[in-house]
Amino acid sequence: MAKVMKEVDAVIIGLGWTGGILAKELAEAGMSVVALERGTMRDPAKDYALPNIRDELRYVQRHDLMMNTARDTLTIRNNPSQEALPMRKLGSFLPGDVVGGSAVHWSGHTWRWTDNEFKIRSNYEARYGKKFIPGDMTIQDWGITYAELEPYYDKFEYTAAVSGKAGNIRGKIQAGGNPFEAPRARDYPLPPLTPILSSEVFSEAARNAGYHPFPRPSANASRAYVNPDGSKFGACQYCGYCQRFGCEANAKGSPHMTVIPIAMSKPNFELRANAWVTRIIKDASGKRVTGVAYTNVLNGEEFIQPASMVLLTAYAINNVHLMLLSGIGKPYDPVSQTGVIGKNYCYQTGAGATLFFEGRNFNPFINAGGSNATMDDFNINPDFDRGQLGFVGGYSIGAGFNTALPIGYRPVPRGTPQWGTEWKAATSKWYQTAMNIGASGGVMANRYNYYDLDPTYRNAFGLPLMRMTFDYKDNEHKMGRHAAAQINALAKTMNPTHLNEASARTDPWTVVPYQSTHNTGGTIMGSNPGNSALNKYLQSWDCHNLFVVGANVFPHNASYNPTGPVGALAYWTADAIKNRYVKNPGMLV
Amino acid sequence: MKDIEKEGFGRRDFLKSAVAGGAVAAAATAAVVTTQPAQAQPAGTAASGYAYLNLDEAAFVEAMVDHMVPADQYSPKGTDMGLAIFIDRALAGGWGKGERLYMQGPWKPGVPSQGYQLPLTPAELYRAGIAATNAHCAKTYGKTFDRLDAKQKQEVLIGLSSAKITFSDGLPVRVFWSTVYQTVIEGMFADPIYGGNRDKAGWKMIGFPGVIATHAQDIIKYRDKKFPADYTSISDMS
Amino acid sequence: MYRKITIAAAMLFAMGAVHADGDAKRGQKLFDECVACHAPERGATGGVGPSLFGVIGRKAGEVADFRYSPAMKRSGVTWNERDLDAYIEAPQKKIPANRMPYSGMPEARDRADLIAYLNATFK
Repeated sequence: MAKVMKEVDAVIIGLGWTGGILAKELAEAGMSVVALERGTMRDPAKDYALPNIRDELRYVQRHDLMMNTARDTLTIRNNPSQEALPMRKLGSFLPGDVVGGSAVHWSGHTWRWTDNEFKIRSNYEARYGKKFIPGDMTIQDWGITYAELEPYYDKFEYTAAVSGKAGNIRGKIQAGGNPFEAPRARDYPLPPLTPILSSEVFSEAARNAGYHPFPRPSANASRAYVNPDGSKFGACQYCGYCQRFGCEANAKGSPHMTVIPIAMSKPNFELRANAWVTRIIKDASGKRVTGVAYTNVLNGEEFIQPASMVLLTAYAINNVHLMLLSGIGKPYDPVSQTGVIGKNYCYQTGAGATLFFEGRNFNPFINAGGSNATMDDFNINPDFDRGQLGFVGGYSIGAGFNTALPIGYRPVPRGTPQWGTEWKAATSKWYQTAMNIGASGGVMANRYNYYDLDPTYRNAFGLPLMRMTFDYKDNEHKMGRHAAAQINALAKTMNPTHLNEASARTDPWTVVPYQSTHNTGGTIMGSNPGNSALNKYLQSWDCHNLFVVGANVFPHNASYNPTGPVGALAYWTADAIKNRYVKNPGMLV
Repeated sequence: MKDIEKEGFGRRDFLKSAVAGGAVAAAATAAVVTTQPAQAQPAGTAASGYAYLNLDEAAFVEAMVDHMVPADQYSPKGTDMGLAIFIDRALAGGWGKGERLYMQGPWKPGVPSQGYQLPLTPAELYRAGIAATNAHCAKTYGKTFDRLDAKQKQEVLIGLSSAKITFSDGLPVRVFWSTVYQTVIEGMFADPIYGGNRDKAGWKMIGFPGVIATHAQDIIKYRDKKFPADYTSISDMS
Repeated sequence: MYRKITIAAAMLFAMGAVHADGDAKRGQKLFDECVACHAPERGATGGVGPSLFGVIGRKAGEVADFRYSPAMKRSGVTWNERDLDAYIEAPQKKIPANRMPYSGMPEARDRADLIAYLNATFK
């Protein structure tokens, strides 16, 4: 029999960026808040300290900060005719599993997604006609505008110590920034990171080719910084161990050193780590939730935590899983195209080239998470005409280094043997003399890319695993071919000694190797309950006292990393709850 | 999505290209630049002796790592770099015992895009794969892998890496090889606390400086210059 | 493997030192680079770095409740302005294998002002 805890105003499921932001905002507003985190507590002073944090085997190869697939995983398949099988170990994406979530091990790339995405269907239909969008491409407008979100992007960028160069301040184009970006109220809180040689070499070639490279905005503090909440950042040391690692210098904007400690300083906030939520509980009417059921993973004891409202803020995949396990909202069915929970799962795609320059020294071990120059000429550039190319969406192209450690990064020209003296000679020669140019492309929603519950496999709590059905479609293949061609053309202007050309991927999506922890969709936001799970305030259309925050709310995936809008939407939702919902609980739309 | 070109793309092409054995610019560069005289080195090397490998397996692993990583101007040979010890300790430990593997059935082969689907831990996979490889060697050459000459060893490893060899007991050779290759690479380049990369020889081979990495001023200072690496491991700071 | 502190660094200090007339007020601003890890309060614990209260005149590696690197504990340094200047300039050069994640403060005047601030405040 589960033990029933004292009721609180809000229970938060998962304590990363979104849960952390909501925990701080609601606790500061005086609400009683309990956060349940299935991972362990980690303390930067002990756990992310030198020298042990600098361990590629432990953190990159063995996934020390990541979800443990022995306990819970997904089943995966490329299409509904396949039998889904469990992802038995991590590969393609890496959800985090400690207090702070994936935002402990992220690289910091922080982008503003704009009306290019939020009004995607309207924009493409207006410009290219209704027929341009394929019948099985289930993209839709998001029901929110960039203008509404701008102040919340600003708030997140200033909280997370984003270093960058504005390209457009209140409509005025700024030299050195991204000229295609939407207007922002003010510049980033910190100047750009010191550019590394590979990004400079790329920028020069891109400019010479008529493109518009700019420093990638990233939550790596380019100098010491105190954010508006008083959280203190050290300056980034360009240590080269960013992605997959906690930061030992408090230089990477992360919730465990900003919003979470602030929430924890409040007497009306409580964090319970090692608390695995198995279900959100609905009342008899099915129109309200009453709390959550969870298990203390240290001893197996079960609890009920009653709450006036539930904030579902786990990793994007797990948010959708918990909605399905709890029976909230109608599950999506790709055959009838009815239901919403599980709909529009999206991922990302890309292409990359490696350029070898005999005699140069790129020092690939010196970099911040965001040491990268990027260009959006084939992304949000309004002059980029897709009419003849026939694809929806875009891709950014960038170059630099991020965590190029030697187990994972040892570039050699194609045709090099895999072992022996010849291999060692090439590995030795090229480790420091090669650089990469890569494209990151969006993935458009498709009728047959979705989540549901697996009929066969179960997790350590006896609950059905989530089943992911995903593959790249013609749209992504067209985009990939275009991206590879542009990268190769640009790379050739740089006259490398040797070039491993970019090629568009043609194989089905595969669960190995690592590709991107940018899984989106599944409980999407929108303008009506017929085609979305949540309204624009990320409030469940079915249960008004349930809010679901994370990249799972994105109706499609863009080329950019998702954390910018994820953080902004968390602040946006917090405001809606504090200023409107608690005063008059009910549907906000 | 920088990661794609860094890991996915690179590794895949690497595997494909391995057997092509095309022309390569193998001009030896001075691989090791040590600017600082070495003081007394913390040992950082595991004790000898094996925790998991049996006698046949130990002989296989030692022969394999010495073939794949021969002694030359770039590094000592594999066993002298601690690769056999690294592999043994990895297999004997939590990773080798599949501590994070989802190990519930039903078990099905699936399609390649579904990834690892064997009901085996890495340690069990290694054991089965070595036995199957030795069975192939016995059938083809009349002796186990460790007793083959260099040319024969090369034939076998190319057969494994290209999946031209198939195992008669049904063990998928590609899965075995990718695990073997991963552990050899990890042994060469992981921090020496795990028993491989002895004396940081793997890092010295490529010029990777290790764990001390306060580089805020080095971007400008060593812009397009060789970095004077002061090779440092976790042991050196402990 | 580590270089010993060079005489040169100490000489440089002797010739160009400006500690005595460092600007503590300016140093306070420079201390912003340190506050993410180092609390200025007496007895502050739990930070990424040890409290710097009373650092001058203190033996290196001796704040209770802070886990120092073996290198710092072995260093034998008792912090005076000269050692602190060398350490802040190039932490890995002065005490190799210490675990402070900081690349150093290159400008002598900045260091002098910072040390003046430490001197004026944390004792």
